[in-house]
Amino acid sequence: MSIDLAGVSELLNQLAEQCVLLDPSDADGVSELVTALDELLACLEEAPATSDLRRAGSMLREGRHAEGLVALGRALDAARDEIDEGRLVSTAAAGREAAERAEPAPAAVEQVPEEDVVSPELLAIFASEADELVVEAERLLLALQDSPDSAAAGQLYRAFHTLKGSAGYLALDELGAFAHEVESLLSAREDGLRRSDLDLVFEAVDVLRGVVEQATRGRVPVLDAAAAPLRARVRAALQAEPEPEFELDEPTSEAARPGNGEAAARGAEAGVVKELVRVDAQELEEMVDLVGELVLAQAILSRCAQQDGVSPAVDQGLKSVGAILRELQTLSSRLRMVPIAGLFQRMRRLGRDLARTERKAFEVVVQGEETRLDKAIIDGLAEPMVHLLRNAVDHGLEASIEERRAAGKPDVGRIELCAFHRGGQIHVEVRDDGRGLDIAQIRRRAVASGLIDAQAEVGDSELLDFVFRYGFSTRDTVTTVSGRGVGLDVVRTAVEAMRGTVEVRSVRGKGTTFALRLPLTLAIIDGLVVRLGNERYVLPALSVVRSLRPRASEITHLAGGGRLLQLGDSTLPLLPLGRLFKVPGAVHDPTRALAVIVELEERDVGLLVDEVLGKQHVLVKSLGDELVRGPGITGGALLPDGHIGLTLDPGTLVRHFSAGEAGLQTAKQDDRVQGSLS
Amino acid sequence: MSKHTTSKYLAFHVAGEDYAVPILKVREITAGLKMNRVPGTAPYVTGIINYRGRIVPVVDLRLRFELPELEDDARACIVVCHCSRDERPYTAGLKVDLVTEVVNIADDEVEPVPSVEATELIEAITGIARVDKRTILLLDLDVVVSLELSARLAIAAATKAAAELEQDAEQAPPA
Repeated sequence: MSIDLAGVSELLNQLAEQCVLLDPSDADGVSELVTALDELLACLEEAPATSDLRRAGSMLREGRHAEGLVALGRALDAARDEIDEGRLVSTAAAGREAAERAEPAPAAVEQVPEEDVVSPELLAIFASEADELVVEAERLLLALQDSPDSAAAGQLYRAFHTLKGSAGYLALDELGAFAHEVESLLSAREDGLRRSDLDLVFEAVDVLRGVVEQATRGRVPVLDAAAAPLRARVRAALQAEPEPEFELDEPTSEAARPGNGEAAARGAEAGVVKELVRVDAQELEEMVDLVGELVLAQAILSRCAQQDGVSPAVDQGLKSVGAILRELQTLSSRLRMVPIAGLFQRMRRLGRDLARTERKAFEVVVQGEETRLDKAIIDGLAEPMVHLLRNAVDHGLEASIEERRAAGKPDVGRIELCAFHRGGQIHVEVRDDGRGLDIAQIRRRAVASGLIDAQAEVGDSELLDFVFRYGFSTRDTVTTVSGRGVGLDVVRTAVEAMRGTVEVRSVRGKGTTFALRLPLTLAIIDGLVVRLGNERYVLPALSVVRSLRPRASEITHLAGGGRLLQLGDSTLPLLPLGRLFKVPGAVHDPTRALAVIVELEERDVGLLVDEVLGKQHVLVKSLGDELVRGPGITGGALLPDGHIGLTLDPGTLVRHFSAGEAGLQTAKQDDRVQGSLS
Repeated sequence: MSKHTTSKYLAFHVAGEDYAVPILKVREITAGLKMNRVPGTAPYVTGIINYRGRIVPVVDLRLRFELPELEDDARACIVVCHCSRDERPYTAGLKVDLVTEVVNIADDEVEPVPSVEATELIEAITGIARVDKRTILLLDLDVVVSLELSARLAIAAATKAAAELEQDAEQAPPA
């Protein structure tokens, strides 16, 4: 008996119901469920949704009932969507049914569009392989740009050759022909690639990027219109008479080439082959999450063991499980750490393009490419880095060679990208050897915008910080690259969203450095857990200086409602978190509460809490961007006592609760007055 | 949207009324999970729970529908559902008085909502089903957790909170 569409749906519904109602410990119920699942699978076509169903089934068979039920629920929901859109149910089954009804066979089977000839799974594999090839090709091209290297040229040839093969496997004829043309060009130049050849291959890589993008989206890729003239030029280059190697348009100098030594060193390193495995990013994410949960579960167990008391053997066992888990957690978070090389390489490529469009001669040099960062941070850094690079090219570097010569600098400008670990943080710097920032002009602009008083004494570093303000630009004209005054504030916002900081250092006439500091990983923070009422909050432990019980004499109440705390020589704003967050049962009288003193970039601030519970490493989870919530609440940390501690960003809290700001202005004046008296 | 004649729903009580959501959207029914309040959220978001290692917000349906809060919530539970918000998958919990049963509802048993009461929250009901002499209101999960309604309510709540803070500040007792 063939199963029809309605029957499949009914089966789906039944399975879904069982999923929700079944108790994971009901072994019989689960095995019945698995049988029904197999029945369903028999009617479905092979697709990612079906594999998810199969995977859930395996989990159930292996005895992982709770997990399997959750996975099955999700997979059923996805399958339902597919079926509603007319997919998944085996056309063979539908065809059989139609035949039984003795109607003319529906065109269902023949109507399979061209696209379905390439299965989604093959396309996904092609997309990821092609992506790797594109990244590799560009890396090789950049290396070849610096100095000729026959090994690199050979690898480049092989990259296109492999691409040709992959394209052929999927019957992507046009793409294959394109790859063949480039491959031929590369193999024809046995005596070394010329600049013009490199340019062509760079353009080819751009076209291939578009192909990868299409394939990643699940579409069978086609070459876009830009490819045709490029292909013509490649073919022309292939037939052209061999030309003598010519010099680059831009003036070169000794400083221009990073030195063959560097390239050779890179080549030597390339000899060490690391065995790598490709892993599904989603699964890696799930694994890291599971490890986090395991650490939490062990912490809970430990606590119970301490409270209830257990035999020494159990206690020992728990301790060793804990030690192993901590190692596992370090390792698993490292797995998500990726070298910043990929990002730096993209920047070098951008630099190359900018040099052409802006008609400026400069090179982009990188250092510390192997520095590893959490993949999430690297993704978040891409946009800010682009802004900073464009900024360096447009504002930093001098407009002309004459200007540079007059300053005694080499003709070719130098932009450095560095990354390194220091003090438990990742440092990323973008340095240029250009004009440097004009502090006097920044000051003038700040006064003109009303940001500071004309007479006010403001330190250099504070003035420099103004460049990060939205709309602040000392340029009078806007260029296509930058100058609108909106680039640097975006950089700061993006970096701060990753719990990082960015500052700028500059020497007039010498150059400018933008220095970013980022946490090693977004997921785990060293937190100070505090209690307010029956709620838990987590502060960044690294910023906490101390905590104390304020005395009535140390507290000043301001007219606007804000409070200040006198601490030694300084006065800080005191934020009553219990009141601000309306926590039921929180202590309101500051003399009965604790003030946690937090150090921020610009100033210190005191946060009033009921009790400090302790320091611990916490795994921070997102609350979901969509959840509209109070200011300064960045995420949730699953705590061993079962609570979810809300992580707070003190900087945002201070900025938002303006009662604190008002109090601060007064405080600053007081400080200055006191300073002049002493 | 459904081409099929009968679908299964999970039915539950909220303030004396019967509601239901499609069973396929339900992940789990849970009770006894610790609720954590989040300051500044809309009043009907009672808090967040730790659901299998993920943080999931919980919407109190009574408050969402502007009904009085439940006094004795001994039998209340949270129906963890899979819906979408801004076209992205979203998991949320619904706090209900009592989960009653799984019920089969045929498409032809569903009637459209009469446009008598013109409240915004009517958008959350996709239809009314009559089963065994009971009236069951079918909920649109996406609307229940929707940003639109939330944004409006959130702005109202934020304005109110800011005004209250100013009032408090003015009334702050001297040191």
